[in-house]
Amino acid sequence: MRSIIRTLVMLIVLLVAGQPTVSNAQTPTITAPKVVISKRQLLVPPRDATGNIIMTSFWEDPVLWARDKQQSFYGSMNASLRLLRGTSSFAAAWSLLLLGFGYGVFHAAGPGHGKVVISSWLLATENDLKRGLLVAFMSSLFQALTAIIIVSVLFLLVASVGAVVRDVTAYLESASYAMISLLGFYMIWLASRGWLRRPKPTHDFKYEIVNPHFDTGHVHNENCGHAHAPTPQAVRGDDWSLTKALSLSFAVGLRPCTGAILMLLSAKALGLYWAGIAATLAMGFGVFLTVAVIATITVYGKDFALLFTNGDSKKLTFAVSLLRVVGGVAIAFMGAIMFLGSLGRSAGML
Amino acid sequence: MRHSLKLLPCLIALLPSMAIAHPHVWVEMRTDVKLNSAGLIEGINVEWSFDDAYAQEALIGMDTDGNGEYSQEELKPLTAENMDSLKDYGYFNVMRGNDKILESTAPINAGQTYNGNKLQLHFTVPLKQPFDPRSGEFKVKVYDPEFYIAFDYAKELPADSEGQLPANCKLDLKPVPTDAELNATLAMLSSKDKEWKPENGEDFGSLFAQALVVSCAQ
Repeated sequence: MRSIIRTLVMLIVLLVAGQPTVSNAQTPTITAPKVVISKRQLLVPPRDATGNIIMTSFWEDPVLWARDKQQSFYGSMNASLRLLRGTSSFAAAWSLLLLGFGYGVFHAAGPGHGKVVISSWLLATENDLKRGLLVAFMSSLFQALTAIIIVSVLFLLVASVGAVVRDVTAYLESASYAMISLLGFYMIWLASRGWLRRPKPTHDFKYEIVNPHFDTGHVHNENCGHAHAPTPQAVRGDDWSLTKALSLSFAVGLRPCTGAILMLLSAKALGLYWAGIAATLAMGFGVFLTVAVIATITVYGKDFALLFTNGDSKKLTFAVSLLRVVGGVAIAFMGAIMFLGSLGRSAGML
Repeated sequence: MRHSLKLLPCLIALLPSMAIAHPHVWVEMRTDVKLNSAGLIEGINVEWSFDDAYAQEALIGMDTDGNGEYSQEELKPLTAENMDSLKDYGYFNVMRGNDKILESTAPINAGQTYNGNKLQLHFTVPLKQPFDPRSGEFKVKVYDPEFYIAFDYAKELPADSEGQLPANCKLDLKPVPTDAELNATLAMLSSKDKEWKPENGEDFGSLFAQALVVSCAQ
């Protein structure tokens, strides 16, 4: 065991030492205490000689890395779209698919509300990974389909789609946020209903005549079943329904991904709409994978946290109810804020 | 500038290589046209006030003496790095004389200040050759064609001149395009084909940027 730890420590030291320390290497003369400035503090991302944004390394700043990665995937995606023009090359279509997929993976890793809503919801209500994955899958699919349907319908209806698609997207965005917020309030309501009922031991006792000669212990029957505190199964199992999962997926997925819409528009402009649709679906699948990883972490994290209740069912009930209310409040609050924000933006106020 | 948001999707559809455009930093700016004693334009001074969110992020770890204030001296390393990366973006300004791009040299007098409320960056962009506004219209646009940064002119004192403008010359900040003008631009862009580019080597972003103009009556 100790040798494993030692190996791990050595590996970490090697990894850290292996990172290029640019700022120190170039200043042999020691002056004032060195101020280390991260890329986040800069006004604009630095570029290299060819005019491309210099990638942040994962170790330096994972969030910036995901942002840069997403940006460069988007650039390559458009480049391969242009390559596709004129040539009906199968290989180019494949690369577009792969790039769409990669964009999806990194897009979902960046900031956004979808995975937060899904993981808050999982944290608050669910414990079953399979269900979490199903919700993640459905919402990603919904999101891809929303983009494809909007753009396709608009292409059928209007000639200059560019301006209209933005208005439609803005409305859908507001609707999505409003629905997310409503779901949050619904969750609070469900949780608080359970909360209000729980403390009262309302079952009425019927007196039994117990023959002292026959030691029967105490007997439970349908008239007298004094409830033991709820089992974990009873606590967690009652919140799932396919309808609820569908409505959550719908609320999250109604807001189409901007990247998907832009790609579809460019694909259409280049006369390659089918490749755009396929890449959008691939993008949805990429989003699903990332959200699935986050959902897995959430579910196992919650299981781990509930271990600390030591199987004490009172504590467990309390912890689960608390999670529900907190999760509901978080979702309602986030939805409300984003809804109000999106209204302001549609009205042209910043 | 905010009106240009409405046209962005159209712009992006026309320019497939452009990064997904929504602002990450908001700047309230002032631009001064700098003149020498002979009335020639020597360059511009810019002053950019950043939004609070960017300022919060940028100031992390900059109070090196720990006195709770951020002096221009303490902000020097940040300024140096910012100016270094801004180089790749042409410092977000284009100066033109008679519609031709006027070459400029590396900015001077760069500094950053924080007054406890706003973080500011200021610098001077000198022209390689001074430009005589009496020989033609001088026009400067400060904008980010990729809209990573939203540049808006300050409501009060957005622009001025440093030094005396020649007689019969005036400094004029063109207003933010109205919705009607934007719709006209949109209609114009829709009528063009995919290969179309704005005239005089301008980029699409400049179609929506406010121009600061020095013009002289002949």
